[in-house]
Amino acid sequence: MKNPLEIFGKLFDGLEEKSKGKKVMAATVDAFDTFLRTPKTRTSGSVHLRDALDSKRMMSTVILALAPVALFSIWNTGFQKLSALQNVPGALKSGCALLGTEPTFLNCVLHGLWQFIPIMAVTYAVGLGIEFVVAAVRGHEVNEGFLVSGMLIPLTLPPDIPLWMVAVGTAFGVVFGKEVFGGTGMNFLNPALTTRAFIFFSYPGAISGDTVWKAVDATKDAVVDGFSGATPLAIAAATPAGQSPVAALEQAGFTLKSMFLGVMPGSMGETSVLLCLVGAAILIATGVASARIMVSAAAGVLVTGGLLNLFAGDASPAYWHLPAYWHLVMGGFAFGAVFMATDPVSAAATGVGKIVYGFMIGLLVVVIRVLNPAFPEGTMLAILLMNVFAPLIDHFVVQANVRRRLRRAQ
Amino acid sequence: MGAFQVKKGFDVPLEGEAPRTLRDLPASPFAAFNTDEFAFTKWRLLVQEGDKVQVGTPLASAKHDENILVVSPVAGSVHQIVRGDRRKLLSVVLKNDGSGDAVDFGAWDMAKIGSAGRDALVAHIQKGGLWPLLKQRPFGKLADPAKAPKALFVNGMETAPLGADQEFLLADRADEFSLGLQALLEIVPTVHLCVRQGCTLGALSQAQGVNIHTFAGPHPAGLPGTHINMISPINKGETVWTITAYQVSLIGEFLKTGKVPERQIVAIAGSAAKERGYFRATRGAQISNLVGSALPENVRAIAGTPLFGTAKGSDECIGMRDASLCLIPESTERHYLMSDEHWAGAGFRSFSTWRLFASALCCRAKKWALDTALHGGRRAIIQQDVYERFSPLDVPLTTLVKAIPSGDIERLEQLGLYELEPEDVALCTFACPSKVDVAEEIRKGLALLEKEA
Repeated sequence: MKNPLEIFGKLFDGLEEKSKGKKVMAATVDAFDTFLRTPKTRTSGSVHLRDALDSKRMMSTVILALAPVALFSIWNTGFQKLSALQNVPGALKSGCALLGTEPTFLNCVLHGLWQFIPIMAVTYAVGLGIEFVVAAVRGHEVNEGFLVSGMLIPLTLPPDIPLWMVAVGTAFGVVFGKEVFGGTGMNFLNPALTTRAFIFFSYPGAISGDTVWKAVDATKDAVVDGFSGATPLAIAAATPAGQSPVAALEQAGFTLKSMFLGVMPGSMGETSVLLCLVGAAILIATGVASARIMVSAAAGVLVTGGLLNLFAGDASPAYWHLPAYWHLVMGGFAFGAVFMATDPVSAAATGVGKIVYGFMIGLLVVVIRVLNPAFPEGTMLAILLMNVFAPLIDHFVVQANVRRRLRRAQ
Repeated sequence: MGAFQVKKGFDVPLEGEAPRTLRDLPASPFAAFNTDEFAFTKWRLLVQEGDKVQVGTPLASAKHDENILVVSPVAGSVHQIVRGDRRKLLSVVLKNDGSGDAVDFGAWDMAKIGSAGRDALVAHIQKGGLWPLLKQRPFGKLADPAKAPKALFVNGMETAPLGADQEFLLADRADEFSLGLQALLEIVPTVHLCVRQGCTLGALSQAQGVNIHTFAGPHPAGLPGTHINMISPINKGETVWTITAYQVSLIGEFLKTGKVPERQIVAIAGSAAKERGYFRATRGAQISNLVGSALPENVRAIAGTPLFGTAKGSDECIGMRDASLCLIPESTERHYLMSDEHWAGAGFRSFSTWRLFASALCCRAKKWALDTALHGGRRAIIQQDVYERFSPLDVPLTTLVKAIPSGDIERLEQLGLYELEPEDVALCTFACPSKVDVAEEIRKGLALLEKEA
C-alpha cells in the first residue's frame, strides 16, 4: 500500500454501494469520496482525453492566492486590536483575555485567529451546509464554488461583526445569490459580495464604510475613547473645500505607503494592497483570473479620478483634488478588483466585454466614492452593479459577432 | 493562396506517434461497413446474410438518394447484419475469403475524366462506393451531388495528436492523388487545398487547378473546420464539401485501376500500441487484425485520434474514413490525497494545458502517455472563456454551448452552429475544467438544427 489513506478507499467503496439510489446520501458520499481520491469516471463520447484540471483544483488555487491576504489579515486584526488597547490596561475583558495583551507577533496572530476563525467557521458551516443540502435535493455533485466564497466572505467583513449576522448574510448570499439560479456557474451575482451587500444594507450600524473597526467589543471591553477612527475614505470625503485631502489623510496617519502595505484597521482582507497584488500575480500566472479585468478596473479608476482632478477648481469639493492613484490603495478597491470582479461566473466573459466591465467598475468606484455623499466606499456596489450588466455587455459583443455573420451572407 | 497562422489552439503532446514506416498487414478475416460513420444518413440494405460479395458489390444505398452506394471492400460473403433499436441498421459484417475477386468498373484516364462530363463522373464514383468519402457541411452529411457546393476543401495536413500524416500517406501516391483531384475539379470548380506551411511534397504543393493555402500553428490548424472558417466561412444556405488528400487518392486509385481499392493505409499509434507505424490494411478491417491480437485488457482502441475518434472493441471494424487507430491506456487507478496526481497534489505527473500544476514548470516538453481518466466531476461552466481560448474559429462558443439546451433554432443559427462539427471543438472538451463535453453538446445542437431544417 503506497498511501496510508488507501484504507479509507474500502470504506468509501462500501458507502457508495449503500448510497445507491439514495440521492441525499449519494451526493455527500461522493463529495467526500472525490475529496479523498480522484474520481473513477472515464471519458466517454468522442473525446477520449481530458486535462487534469478540475474545479476542485481551480478553486483551491484561488484559495492559495487568497492565503497571503488571509494570513496577513489575521495578524493585522490582532495587531489593530492590541494596539488600540495598548494604553488601557485591563480593557480587554471578553473571552480572549486569557491571551497575552502585549502586541508581540504571536499575540497578534492569536488575537487575530480569535476573531477570524469563528467568522470563517460560521461562514463555511452555513454555506457548505446549504451546498450539501442543495446538491442532495437536486441530485448532483457538490459544487466547490463555495470554498472560495467561504474564504472571501470573512475577508470582506469587519472583525467584530456579530456571528449571527455572518450566518444570516451567508445564507442569503448562497441561496439568493447562487442556488436559486442553479448553483455555481449559473449565478449572475458574486455570492460573497451578495452576502456583504445584504449585511451592509440590513445592518448598516454594524458595517459601513465611514468608521473603522478594531475588534474591540465596546460593551464588554472598557470603552476606549478614540479607538474607532474615521476611515481614509471618510476623511477624504469630509475634507473641507479648499484644503488638501492628501494633507488631511497624512495628518490622520494614512500615507500612500501605509495604505499600500495595509497595517491599518479595516475589513479584514481589504487593507493590504501589496498582498492583493501577490494574489493577483498568482491568479494571473495560473490563468485562473483575468488580468484584463484587473488592469482595466485600475485604468477606470485612474481615468475617472484623473478627469476629476482635471476639472477640479477652487470651489469644487476637496475630494476632487485627491490624486487619482490614491484611489487604488484606498478602501477595498484592490481586494475587490483582484478577487471579486474577476469571479469568472459573474464577470463578463468576452474579451472586449472584460475590458468594458473592468473599466466601468473602476469608473463607478470613483463616482460612488467622490460624487455620491451617501456611501463612502463604492467597490462593492460598483462590482455588484457591473455583475448585473455583465451579461448585457457580453450580449453586445456576441451580437457584433452575429452581425458579422449575417453581413457575410449578403 | 493564403498563408494562415493559427494562434489559438494546443498540441497535446502524446507519446506513441507512429514511426514513418509502411508495412503490409495480412488481410483481415472480417471487414464491416458501419453506419455510425455517416451522420444523418439512413440506409437501405441491398444484401442479405449469406450473400456472396465481390470487392465492389453494393451493400447499401442511402435512403435519400439511391445512387449513393456503399460497396464491399472485400470478396467473400455477408457474415452478419447488425441492427439496433427499431431495426436500425448498424453494420454489415463481411467475411473475407481472401480471393480478392473484384468487380471491374473500367479504368478512366485523364482524358476520359475531362470529357465524360460531371454527371457521368459522379455516377462512376458513386458506383465505386467512394462517394461517401465526401463530407458536406453544415452537419457533416453525405455530399449531395444535386446541389453544387460553394467549394471543396481538400485537407492535405493533420495536426491532431497521433493523427496520420497526410504527406506520408501520399508519398507514393502522387498519380492517384492528381487523378482524383482532377476528377473532383470536374465536379466542383472551386477547390481549396490546405497544406502544412513548409510542405515540400510535390503532389500537394504543386497541385494544378486548385487554390493552395498553407496553415501553421497548433491544433486545430489542420482541421477542415478551421480551414473553412478562415478561408471562406459557411453562410446560411451554403454548403461546402470536405475530403482528405489521402481519400482523394483512393478515388484516384479507383479511377486508375477500375477496381475499388481493397486496401487503405492506417496509422497505428498510441502509447499502448505494441507495434506502431503505417500499415496497408484491408479497408474496414477488424481491430484485432490491425492490432495483431485481441485488445489487451485496459487498453482503449480508438478509430481516429484520442482527441476525436470512436472507441472500438476487438471484433469491431475501423471506419472507411478513418486514417488512424490509436491505442491508449484506460484509467484504472484512483489517486489519493497526498499523492502527486491527486487534485491537491503538486502535479508533476498531471498533464494540463493550465499553469496550475508543477508539470507546467518542468515537463511541458516531454511526451505524455495520457489515459482515459476524466479527472473531475461534471460541473456547470465556471470559466466562461475557456472555449474561446482554445478555438481559432470566429464563433462565440461559450454563448453557443449555453444556448443549445434552449432549442432556439434561430438563435443557434445566428451564433454560427452550422459552421461547426463536433470535431472542431474537441480541444475545448479536452481543456474544460468543468468537464463539459463541448463536442457532444455541438453534436446535440446540430441534430436539433438538422431536424428542423
